[in-house]
Amino acid sequence: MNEQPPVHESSIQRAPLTVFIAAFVALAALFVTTKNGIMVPVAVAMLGSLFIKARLDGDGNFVRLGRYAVFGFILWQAYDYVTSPTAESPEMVLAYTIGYLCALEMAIQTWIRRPASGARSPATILLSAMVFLAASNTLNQSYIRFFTPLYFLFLSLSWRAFQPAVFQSRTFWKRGAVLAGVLGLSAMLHGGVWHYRNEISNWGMQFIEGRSIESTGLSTDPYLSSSFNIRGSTTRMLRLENADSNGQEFYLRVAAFCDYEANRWLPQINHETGQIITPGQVQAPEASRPLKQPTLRITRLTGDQQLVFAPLNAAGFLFSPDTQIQWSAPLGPLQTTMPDGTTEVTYEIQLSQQEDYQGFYCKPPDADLLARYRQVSKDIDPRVRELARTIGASAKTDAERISAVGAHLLANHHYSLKSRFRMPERTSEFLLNKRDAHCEYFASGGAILLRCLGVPCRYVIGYVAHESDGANALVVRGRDAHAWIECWIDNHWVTADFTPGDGRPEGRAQPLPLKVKISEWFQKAGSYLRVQIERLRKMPLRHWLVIFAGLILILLWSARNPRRKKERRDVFTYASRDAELSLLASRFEKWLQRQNAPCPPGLTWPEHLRRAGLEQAQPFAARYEAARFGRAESLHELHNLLQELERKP
Amino acid sequence: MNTEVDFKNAVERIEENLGRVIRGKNESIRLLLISLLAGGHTLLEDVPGTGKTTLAKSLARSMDGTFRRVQFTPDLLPADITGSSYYRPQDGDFEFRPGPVFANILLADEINRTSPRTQSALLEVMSENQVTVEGEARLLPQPFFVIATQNPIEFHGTYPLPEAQLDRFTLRVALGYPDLSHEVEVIFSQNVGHPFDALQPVLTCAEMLCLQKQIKNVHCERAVVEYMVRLCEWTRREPRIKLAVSPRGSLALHRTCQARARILGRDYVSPDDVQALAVPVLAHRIALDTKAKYGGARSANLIVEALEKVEVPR
Repeated sequence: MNEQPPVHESSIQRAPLTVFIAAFVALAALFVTTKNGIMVPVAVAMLGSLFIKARLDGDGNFVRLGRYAVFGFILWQAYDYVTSPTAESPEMVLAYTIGYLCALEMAIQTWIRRPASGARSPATILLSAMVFLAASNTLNQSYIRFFTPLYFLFLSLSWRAFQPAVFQSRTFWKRGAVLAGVLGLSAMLHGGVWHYRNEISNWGMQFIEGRSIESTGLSTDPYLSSSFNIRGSTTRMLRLENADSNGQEFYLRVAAFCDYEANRWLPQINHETGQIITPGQVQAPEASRPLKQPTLRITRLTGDQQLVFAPLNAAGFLFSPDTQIQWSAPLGPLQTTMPDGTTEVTYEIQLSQQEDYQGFYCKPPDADLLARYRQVSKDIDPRVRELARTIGASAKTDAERISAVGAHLLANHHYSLKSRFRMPERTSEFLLNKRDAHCEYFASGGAILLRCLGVPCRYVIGYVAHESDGANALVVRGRDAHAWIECWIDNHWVTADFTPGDGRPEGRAQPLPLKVKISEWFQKAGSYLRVQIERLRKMPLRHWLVIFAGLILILLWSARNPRRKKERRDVFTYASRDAELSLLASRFEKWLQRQNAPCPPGLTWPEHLRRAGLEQAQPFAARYEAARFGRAESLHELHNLLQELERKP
Repeated sequence: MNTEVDFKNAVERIEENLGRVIRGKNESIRLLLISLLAGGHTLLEDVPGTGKTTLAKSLARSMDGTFRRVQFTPDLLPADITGSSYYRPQDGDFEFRPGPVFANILLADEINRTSPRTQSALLEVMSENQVTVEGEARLLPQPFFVIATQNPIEFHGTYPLPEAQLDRFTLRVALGYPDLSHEVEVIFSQNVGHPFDALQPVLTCAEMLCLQKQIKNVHCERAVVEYMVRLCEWTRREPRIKLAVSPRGSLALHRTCQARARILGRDYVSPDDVQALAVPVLAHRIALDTKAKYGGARSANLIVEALEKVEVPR
């Protein structure tokens, strides 16, 4: 049996004061960053534990339930906050939430009874470090600059292992010098971190996801690159039903851009104030036109993009009546929202039986617009025009020019996600220096070259749907984001994609990892459940009553069952002792608990007292055993002995 | 009161006598005495040269009863222990010549050096205090006490004792190596002559029987008996144990606890007695599951585990 160290009451309850101060600094930092009053009672609770001796039982139901309740409340609040319309960035809320949770845990820890080994200090330091980390989440808040040196100071003071011998010194000046030194060092450390924060954060980003594609992107909003990163996000974005694509991939466009300036395709369509319209205005395809049946049905699975995705030859849209649609004059339906904020939005697209049908997105441009589609930005290097002339020298028609440009790009460039550019104008550098780059450059470079040759074209972004998801259904993931161009030839808009095959989403797609498959299975099961629950909600009352009665029966049955089991398992109780002895025994057990040394079930009292170093109680234990197991003895003396024990502090 | 003084006195006398020969092993001597007072038999198990035989002989000499010693060798036969009938030509009849078991103290030295066939000759002797030879049961003298010594079974030239035989030993006592100062004392004390030679009997057989009778009057509360039985029952439910403690084991635990309480001057058994004696009384009675045995489990550790897990009556 293990020897237990003796427990002394005086050394049980408190962590070193410096730990407390470090914790308070962390709490204060969190308070000023989040401006949330929840930190004040937490700090008061911690402070109170310095003055009040009573402690809670760490394994007790009270502490456990309290912890669940408080943590649950905080998580609920955080969830509410994140999902509210005025929410800040969710990462920040996550950081704060972790800070709150750690702060509360810290307060709970200070109130829990512990053995003399004093395991609390490192736990409190760790928790306060987490709180501080959460507070420093917004380093741009300048108060943190003042807190950080203080925090480091108290942290280093509280960590005994780090205490230099000078701290033991009683000389006031020496102590002062050390304090000033630690303060200065931590200020320097913090200053360094602050000064190089951008570099540090860039290193971190590179470490986490390699070179960020955002830094070399060419598209403006609507911006698909957040899902289209180097690792290829497998988040499901869209689901297409009735997509009879005959093995062909669908180009689902979301927006086309007209002007190129300063490494960006403009305009920023998201910020263009569209006109809010009712669905009736969209669903008016000419009746005489032969349409495909059934209509293509698209379900948007995530809520972060509210864009409308459709193929170029869409002939009409069928939105559900409660959808709000933002209508952009040149582009057609652009954004949809549901009044109740539902993330999953489903709409149907009518497709013409003619493959080259020109629908919503293919209105003939007027002369003004046509001129803009031919315009080459002033930023573009003049040598690009010469290059274009060389490429298009032998081409006579626009179609031949397009294929010449495509052939040139395919022959001279490779697909790569790790583009490196030195010239300020990146598309020019891509074309002139034959850089390797990703789809945005192939599309952008192709568009610029074609414009140089006089072919009107526009830059388009969207998704390429290629991954089958059951019969006649396709699924679109974040990694399927793509960019291509549309050219105006012979009074028709034609899609042209110059990206090499291994760079197109269908060529680059990797098989899904098992964990993604599993999580998707659960998501599907969840949405199935939601549908079923929705159906249940519409059930008549009498069905509900039957289900309710059934549940009650099951509950009653299950409540009876464990009780029976318990009775079967642990029926044994020792032969009874007389009532007065029982009372004395329970009083003595309480006394042991107050000494912070409850007796384990496998030890007799004399043995336990010997191990716990509570020799003063041995006479009582010996007398008690004589009364309990020996022949009758007067209990008077036992009472006296116990009273004496209880009276002593 | 008078009987108590007698008891204390007698126990102290024997302990002092034995302590002169076996140095620094008061715990083992106490256990041996408990076994003797409880009317049981003792198995002394340890490596060679730790004083097992000397202790047994000293105990025999401390009492004035008859003492026989059997050196268990591989060629020993059951009849060499129990005795057998001889044909007497002058009478034309058979005469029974009692074997060495007909004594008050029987020292079965190196009991595991003989085959299980001969070891089994002791089964009836030890549990029923009688010998049946040629259909006739013969009672043994009282008190009857077997002290067997054995080397641990992993040693060369040994046969493991059958479980039934092990179960008949009330206690298994290990002596262990003496500590440094005691070993030095042992060497000096044997410089001129063996202290064993100077031993005198300090107790008569009649006195021993009287002491054994007194033990039975020690009170054992029902809760304590329940505790003993729960310990034994724990071994029956434990999957690592192939052969658990028998009711003979719980009986032995009860009787030895009474003896311990009496030696400590109490007239009641407390759970402390049970905890102190559980390992020596119970550990040799259990056989471990093969998987547990080769997984490093030891029977004594399992009994300790039982003590930790079974709730103590308070």
